Amino acid sequence: MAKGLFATYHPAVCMLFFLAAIGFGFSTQHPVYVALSCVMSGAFLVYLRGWRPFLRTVGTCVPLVVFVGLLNSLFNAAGATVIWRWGPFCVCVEGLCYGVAMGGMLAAVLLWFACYNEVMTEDKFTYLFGRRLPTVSLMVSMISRWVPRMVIRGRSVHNSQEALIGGYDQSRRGTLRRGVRMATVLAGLGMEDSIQTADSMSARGYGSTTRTSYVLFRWHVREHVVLGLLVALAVANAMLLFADAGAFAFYPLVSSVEPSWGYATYALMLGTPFWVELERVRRPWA
Amino acid sequence: MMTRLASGAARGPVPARENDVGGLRNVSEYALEMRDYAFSYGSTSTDALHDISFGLRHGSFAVLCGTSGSGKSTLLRAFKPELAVAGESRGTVRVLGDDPHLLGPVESATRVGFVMQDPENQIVTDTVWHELAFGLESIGMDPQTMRRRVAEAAHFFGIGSWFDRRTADLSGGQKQLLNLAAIVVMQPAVLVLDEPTSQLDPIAAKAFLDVLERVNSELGITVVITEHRLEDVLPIADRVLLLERGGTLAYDGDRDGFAHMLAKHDSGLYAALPAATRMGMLFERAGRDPGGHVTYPFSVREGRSYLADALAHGERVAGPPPTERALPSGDVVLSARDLWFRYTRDMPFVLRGVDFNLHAGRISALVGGNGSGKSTLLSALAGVRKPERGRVVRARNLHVALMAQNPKTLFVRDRLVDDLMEWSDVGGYSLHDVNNMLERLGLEQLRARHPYDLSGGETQKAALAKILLLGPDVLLLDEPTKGLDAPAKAQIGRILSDLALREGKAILLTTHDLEFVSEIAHTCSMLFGHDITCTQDAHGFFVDNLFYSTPTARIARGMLDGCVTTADLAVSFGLAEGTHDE
Repeated sequence: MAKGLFATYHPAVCMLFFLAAIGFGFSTQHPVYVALSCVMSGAFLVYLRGWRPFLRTVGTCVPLVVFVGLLNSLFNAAGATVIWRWGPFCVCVEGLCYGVAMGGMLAAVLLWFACYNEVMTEDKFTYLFGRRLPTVSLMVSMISRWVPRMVIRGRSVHNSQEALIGGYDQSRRGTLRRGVRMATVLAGLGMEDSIQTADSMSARGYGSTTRTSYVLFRWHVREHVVLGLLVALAVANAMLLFADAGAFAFYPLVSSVEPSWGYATYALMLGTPFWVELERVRRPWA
Repeated sequence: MMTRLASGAARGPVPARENDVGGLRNVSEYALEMRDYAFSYGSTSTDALHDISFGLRHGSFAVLCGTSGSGKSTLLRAFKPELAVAGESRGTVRVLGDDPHLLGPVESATRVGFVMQDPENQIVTDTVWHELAFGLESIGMDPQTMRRRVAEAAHFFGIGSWFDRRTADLSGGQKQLLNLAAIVVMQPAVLVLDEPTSQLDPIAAKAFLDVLERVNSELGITVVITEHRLEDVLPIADRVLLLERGGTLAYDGDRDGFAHMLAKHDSGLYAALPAATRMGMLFERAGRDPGGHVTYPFSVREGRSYLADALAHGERVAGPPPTERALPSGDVVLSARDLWFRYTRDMPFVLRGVDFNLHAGRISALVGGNGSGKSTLLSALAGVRKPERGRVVRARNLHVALMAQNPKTLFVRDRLVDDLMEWSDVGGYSLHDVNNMLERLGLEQLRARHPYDLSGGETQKAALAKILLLGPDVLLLDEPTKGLDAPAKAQIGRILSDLALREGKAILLTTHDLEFVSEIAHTCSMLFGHDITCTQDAHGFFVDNLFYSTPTARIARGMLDGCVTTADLAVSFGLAEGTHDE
């Protein structure tokens, strides 16, 4: 279970936040916005899972940033400030900057996805998208029960067969034959199982009328407030961020970074998981 | 009543179902009723059930007895049209006074709740909360009422602490409890249970029946249940129905009359009765009535007081209770030396320094709680799993066969005889051998059957046949009696004894069935705390154990020490065991 109050918000609120964070994260390479996105996503991940998993995730991100940065600078020669030239390759400062910004953007999005996984557990996702479609959400639930069961079944079939005749025939043909046999047994057992499951479903009124859904999450005043703030911040960002991004260019020369209100609103929006903590009655800083 | 219940379920708040039953609306006399009911699987075949008439009053707790194949499931399913067996039926069936076929789908789903045998297959969804809500979602209950019902049920069944768990992570007992809760949450007036505890270990089974008793006594829900083992269920039942082979109702009344009837005429159920009741039968058969008891003892407590009265009223002990049996002397063929095992390196050890010897010609039993590592030890002895430390020592050219817990995992073909031929090349046997084996295990009639269509006992025997054809010297059997009824169990016991004593095979079996162990095993070992705590001759094991022992040993403790089975008691009193039929 993810720690922090943010994860306790209605899945719709959490989903909107991640949509905004990932959507905006993808839409600009403006260095300040990219840096903000990186810092905030990193901080959130540390907050959710602690330093160790964070460092592990970063460990996979850094090579990506370096790789993308180098690749871009090698193949994109549109910049004005050339540092190195060899045959068809031409490395320039602008290309390098662009590459790093792009790598940073990808890294931030990856970090956001890591946070998403922590907060938006499967049940929240199905709840969010399955409630309008109860049959779909039931299907998802049944499949996520069925798959691990089949794996366990497969293992037990394999073990029980292997225990008896595994020693007799170690040739490739023998192994193949045993594999086919195992698939047959699994199919047969699966069929047996599903007949009983179907019985259990119809015994409990499956298909008797229009399905409804169990409500796992409810809307409170705080959800409305945070949702309103998030929407307002997202609208503000949509205007400010795109204006700033439009004014910024990497080629032919990297433009200078101008101060903007957009940085503040962006930071505020990405900081939602942190400022919702202010609601804690005791020790909001702890 | 129908419409009111249906709309109530959909819109809530719903008055408690007991109010409906005891209210002013037309309440039927019986919760469940059958009159002159008959059933056949096809128009041409003979009746599988016939002349069945009975009525169960509201709130009763009825046990439906009968040997395998007597049609218990078919009878139970007649009350639930969604699950009814395909075939032709005559006569009347009533649920709360109404024909179940005429009820609307929602009403039909909620009136009768049905719990089946396999805990695993009844669970539909991946999380506990979703499983609890499944039925209510199906009948379209509004979310507000649904939350409330689910919360109530979770509270009643003590599920609160594992409400958010994934169903795959639950134990077998928890799964079956969840199945029960997921049905009771729909507020049925009647609960029908078809062998609900046969796949559970005795502790989980007892826990399940305790909860079922609460459901019956605290919620007033009428219960009909079938069970193989009557030890725990008969003491809480107030009604017994006996279905005889051939599909007629041979008995309908209270449990005491049932026991009296079985004392005169055994219907193959004697061995399934509680140990205390069997003890009472010993005296009844001999025409004695120690202590002037009018009724039979059913629980261990009643059994102890019955036995004390018998001894106090001068019932003579004919001979000393039997002492330990002689162990067949056989060489050690397979042994574990200081065996340490764990599944992965970051998991705790399942076995810690286990030393164990297996002798030729002996049946050894391995008992212990769930998750104590019994199955793991078997697979380590079979060589399927490699120990981390220590070793398994085998005699030269020793063939070891392991039979896994679910014997169905062995079958591949559509006909039993083809299936047994499956390994003829690796095992080096012929069709002739297969035919001999089928005959030996009493399976000739079933040779053309699909292995999945066999009953529990037949499946176990068929799996045993398949393994024996490979000619093993050592048989490692993981719970060979799981889910078997008394006659099937006795048959497996005879086959195993024969294999050990006549053919000198070394047999090691794990089981939760202590009575079975006390009857057929030579030695018994207890696995606890990742190690074998004690190994002893089976008789001495149960005499020396205080809690973990057979019901008879618990009844006789302190009064007739040394009695572990009803047969021991019979010897002590110089009486003949069994019923008049035998």
